[in-house]
Amino acid sequence: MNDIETLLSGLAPRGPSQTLGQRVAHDLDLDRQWLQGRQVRRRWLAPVAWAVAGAAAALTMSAFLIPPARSTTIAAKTTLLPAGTIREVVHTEDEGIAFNEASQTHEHRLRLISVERQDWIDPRDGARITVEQPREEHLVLPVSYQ
Amino acid sequence: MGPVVDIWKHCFERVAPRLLLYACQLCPTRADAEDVVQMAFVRWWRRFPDGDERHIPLLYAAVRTIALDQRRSQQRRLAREAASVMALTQGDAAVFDPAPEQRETAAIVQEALEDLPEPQREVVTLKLWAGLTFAQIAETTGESINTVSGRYRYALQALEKRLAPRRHELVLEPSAPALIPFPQPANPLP
Repeated sequence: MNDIETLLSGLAPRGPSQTLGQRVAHDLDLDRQWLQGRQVRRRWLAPVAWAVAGAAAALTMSAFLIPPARSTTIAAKTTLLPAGTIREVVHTEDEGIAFNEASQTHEHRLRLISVERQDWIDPRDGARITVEQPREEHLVLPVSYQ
Repeated sequence: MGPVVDIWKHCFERVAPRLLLYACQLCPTRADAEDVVQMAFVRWWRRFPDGDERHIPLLYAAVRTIALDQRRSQQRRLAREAASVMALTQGDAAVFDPAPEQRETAAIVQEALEDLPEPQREVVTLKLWAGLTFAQIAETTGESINTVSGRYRYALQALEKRLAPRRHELVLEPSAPALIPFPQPANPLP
């Protein structure tokens, strides 16, 4: 270390104001309170999480059994905020034109397999929950020969 | 106040002066620098609640990021308020805490430091007062090691040149006042 380095490093930086320490203490206190609150919340969060998982599973099953025609409202009762929904079509299958004996008309049948991803965000800590919901849809389009 | 509280206090008391000195190099006022240090320390402590010293370089990186963000938002605010003739007040508060016999030295050094270009000032502060290695400084500033070591060298040369005419006023040690033996010219006059 040369003389100039010795001179500079020999000067002690001035300490922070007293209020800075108090402000940091206040922020860290808030953190601790929030963490304690979260631990209390976790007691009921587990059953809610299971309920949400169950609801998601039920919706998944119903997607295969019932043609989906309604939007889901998972976590509407919690403080989670919807962050977005993305629907990705993973497979399409053209089942061709068939004659419907009931209606006595021809119809074009398509099968769509997709995955709907719903994101939920917890504004308190930024935690993100993603629910993936597979869907299978059978589309029936009228056929016109004109 | 439990022992957990004392851990952060101990850590804060140790690093805060150096953090603040660094933040002062990047912020227009000492009050802004304190805001930056507060935010950086709280964020860092949330991530490293054991105060592990190996992560101290990340604390300086946090100070830098927050200070630059703050500067950008201030610039936007000033641009909006340009019509009202508001301007940032330059930080004129002392950044050193010298012993009584070193007060003049500290003022001279602070003045010389302020004359350095900001990138050089930043490297000098991180090297000499924060005690970071060139590799850690390079990581903190996002520059190469060669660049930061070059900046450090140029900064020391500039400081030496600037302080040389006033070397008789500089006190090296607070306890034992001594004149700094700056290098003499190669060919002194007879």
